[in-house]
Amino acid sequence: MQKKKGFFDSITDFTMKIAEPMGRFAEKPWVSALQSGMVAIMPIIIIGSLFMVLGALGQPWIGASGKPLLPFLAPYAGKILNVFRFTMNFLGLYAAVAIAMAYAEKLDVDVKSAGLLSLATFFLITLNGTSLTGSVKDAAGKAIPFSIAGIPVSSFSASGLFTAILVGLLSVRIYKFIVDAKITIRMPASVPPNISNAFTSLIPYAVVFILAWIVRTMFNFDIVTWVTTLFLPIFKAADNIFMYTIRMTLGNLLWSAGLHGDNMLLPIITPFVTQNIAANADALTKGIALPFIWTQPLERMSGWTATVWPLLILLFQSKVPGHRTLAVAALPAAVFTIVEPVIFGLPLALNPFLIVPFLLATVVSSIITYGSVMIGFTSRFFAALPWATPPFILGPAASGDWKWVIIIVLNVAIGYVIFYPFFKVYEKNELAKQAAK
Amino acid sequence: MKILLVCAAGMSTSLLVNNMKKFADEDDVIDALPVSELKKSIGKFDIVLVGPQVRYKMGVIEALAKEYNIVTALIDMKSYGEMNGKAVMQQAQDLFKK
Repeated sequence: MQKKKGFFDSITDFTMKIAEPMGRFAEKPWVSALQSGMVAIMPIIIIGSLFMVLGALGQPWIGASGKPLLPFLAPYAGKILNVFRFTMNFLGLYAAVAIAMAYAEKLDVDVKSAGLLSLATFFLITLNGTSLTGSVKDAAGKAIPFSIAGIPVSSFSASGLFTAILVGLLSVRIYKFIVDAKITIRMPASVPPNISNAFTSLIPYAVVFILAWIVRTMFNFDIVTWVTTLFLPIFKAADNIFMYTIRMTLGNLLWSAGLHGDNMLLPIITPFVTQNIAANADALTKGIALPFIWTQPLERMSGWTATVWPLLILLFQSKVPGHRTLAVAALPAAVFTIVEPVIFGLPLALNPFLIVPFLLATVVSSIITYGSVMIGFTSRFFAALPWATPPFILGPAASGDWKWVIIIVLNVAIGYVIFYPFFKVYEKNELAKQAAK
Repeated sequence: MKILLVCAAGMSTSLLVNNMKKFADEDDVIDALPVSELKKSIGKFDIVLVGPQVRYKMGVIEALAKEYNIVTALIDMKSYGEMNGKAVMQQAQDLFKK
């Protein structure tokens, strides 16, 4: 086993080398605020996507027949979709508030002030006035300009998410900078703190508002369009089978060292997959093709289904005392993709015998999972559900496509085949170890 | 003794909490939280035990614990995986005595 150990050590060393800077990155206040802000808006996204599914089922363009799948919902489809429109489709608005509040908590800034500051700044930076202007043609073909009261809400949707992140972080950062520099209106000590707090906020609020107003109104610079033009091609380019496989493998490489790989990658991945699923949901309600393959439910289809799940079967068949007990004990949690009992109990983490199949099965299942969408065998996801939803429910429920169950079964089977020879060596080694005792 | 367990989402540690309660005294309080919520709640506990999968956050956790004068330690990988309530409870008791 000497040679194998050497190889294993070099993998572990490599993992630790990348884990250390990633850990430091994840601990930065703005990174963890971004992450916890995004987590805080998940219930809104999940409820919104449930209503979106209900509404979509009453729309005639779902499915191939040209008829609604649930005709009795058809008269209410538009009304049901209102919940989606004001929740999931306003996700930028909620993110601006949640990220600012989370960041304020990290920086020890007044949380209420930060949330309000960011919300108002988000409006100021995305909207230029409260009327919509345009023109219509009359019967003679002459253009008649119109102006009606209203604001465009497209910036509040997923396309405004990156602006919301910028606003949430920058506005609080500027607030903190000004308060720390003591450029505030100070009240005598006898004034109640609540009142003096309101005065403390005056100057930093004014500075941030004026900055946003200059950019949007005076320069008429539309940051949302600019960010979308800048990021959308990057997002489109990043949504490919290679990047997906690298992300999944990197996550499990960190897990192989006993670190929560998914959580460590979350700060980078969450804004990306959240905007993707919201863009897909929006496309679905409009009856156009879903733009993105890579979404959060997709990640849940590969990975654990091809690693921990087949391992449970192998553990159940194993002759090593204790393995079967572990398999039975770990099964209920593993169904909900809570894998720590297997990762640390077997252990899979820092296990020189199993690291190769662990990574190999991750790579193969990622390719199968992403590839199945590419070739059109399975459908793209449009709904968000809690991450711990069992994949065989999550897949069909979040895409409307039962064939995801086939992909999951395939992933388990392939994972089993990949793990089998390595596990047998491990099993033999464990039996010899126990016999030697 | 008030013990707090933290991991990424507070899910897997909550499994361990259930197992620990079998070996806890009646007046012991054991709770599980995501590591992101540690700052809000750390003051209410005597001991913070950390799931091995979030040990990359140990730097921040230790700094916080020092601020509140609270003992903190990593949970042993093997005990964690086995959801060994007895061993982890023992670890907590040993730390508390110190």
